[in-house]
Amino acid sequence: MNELNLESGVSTPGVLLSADSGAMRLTGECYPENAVEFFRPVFQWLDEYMDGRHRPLKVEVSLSYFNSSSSKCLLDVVERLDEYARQGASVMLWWHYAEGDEDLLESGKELADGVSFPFHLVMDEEA
Amino acid sequence: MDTKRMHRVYTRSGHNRMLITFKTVVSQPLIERLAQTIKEQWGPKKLYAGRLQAVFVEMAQNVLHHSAEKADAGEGGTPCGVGMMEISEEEGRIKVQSGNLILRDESLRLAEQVDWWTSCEAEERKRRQDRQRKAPRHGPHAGLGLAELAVKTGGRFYVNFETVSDRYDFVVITAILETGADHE
Repeated sequence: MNELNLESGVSTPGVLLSADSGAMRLTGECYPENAVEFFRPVFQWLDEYMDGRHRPLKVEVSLSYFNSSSSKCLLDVVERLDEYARQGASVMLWWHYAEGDEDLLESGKELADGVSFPFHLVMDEEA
Repeated sequence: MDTKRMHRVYTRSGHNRMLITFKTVVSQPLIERLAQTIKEQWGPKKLYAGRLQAVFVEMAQNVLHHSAEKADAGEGGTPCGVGMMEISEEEGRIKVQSGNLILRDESLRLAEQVDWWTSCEAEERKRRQDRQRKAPRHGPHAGLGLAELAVKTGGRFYVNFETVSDRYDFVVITAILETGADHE
């Protein structure tokens, strides 16, 4: 299975999806012109990774900003992860937010609400 | 040069400290450049900078996608919406405004939606935003922009319309952010 590695742009996050290490990472800002189009390969990769086998998946989300359209895509990602975890797969997620950014913390709490896998809220302190 | 118009803008800017104002084809690269500028200028106030960036991006992308007037941005890709954006500062608050043409039917629907968002309490706004986020998509865009504006501004946003023809209105969306957000 191929690795998906997208460099970050100004309005698109860096994306790393690795089947070898069972890791998914999103970093940067996320407000593309068309969020559905941007997330399409991410969903394709997840569908393939989750197909049939319960391989573990560790997810790290470190987005300093995402727009409303992307928030729906992130919810779709979390819902897929939740379904995968309910099928018996080991899923863990770390949601990073900057110290003082209550909105990002709140977004993490909303996404974590009701999920069946460990969803860690991680505050990144000022450098 | 249109001296009267320039003087009008100058006078208004003097009272309100105009930070950004333009009318153009609103493309994604333009939004990116301005969002970066906003982040650099207000970066140390993380919560506030985040809210300002969020409000600006939602409003600018609304013009990009939904303005009834489209034009080529000269950067390749599909035609983008034409509109104007303003960010001004006055008395401890930032005002973000967008203006663009809109079909009459859409302006009526928009007015109803904004009335609802601005008349309800914060908890109800969050509940409705959550419901909308979980609802199925109808098209390439999520339709969550108004919800985001309502939540980020605490309901302090409104719309005004000017009739320009039988088919079109000019819509102005105004969002207000208190600059003390980081101290709340």
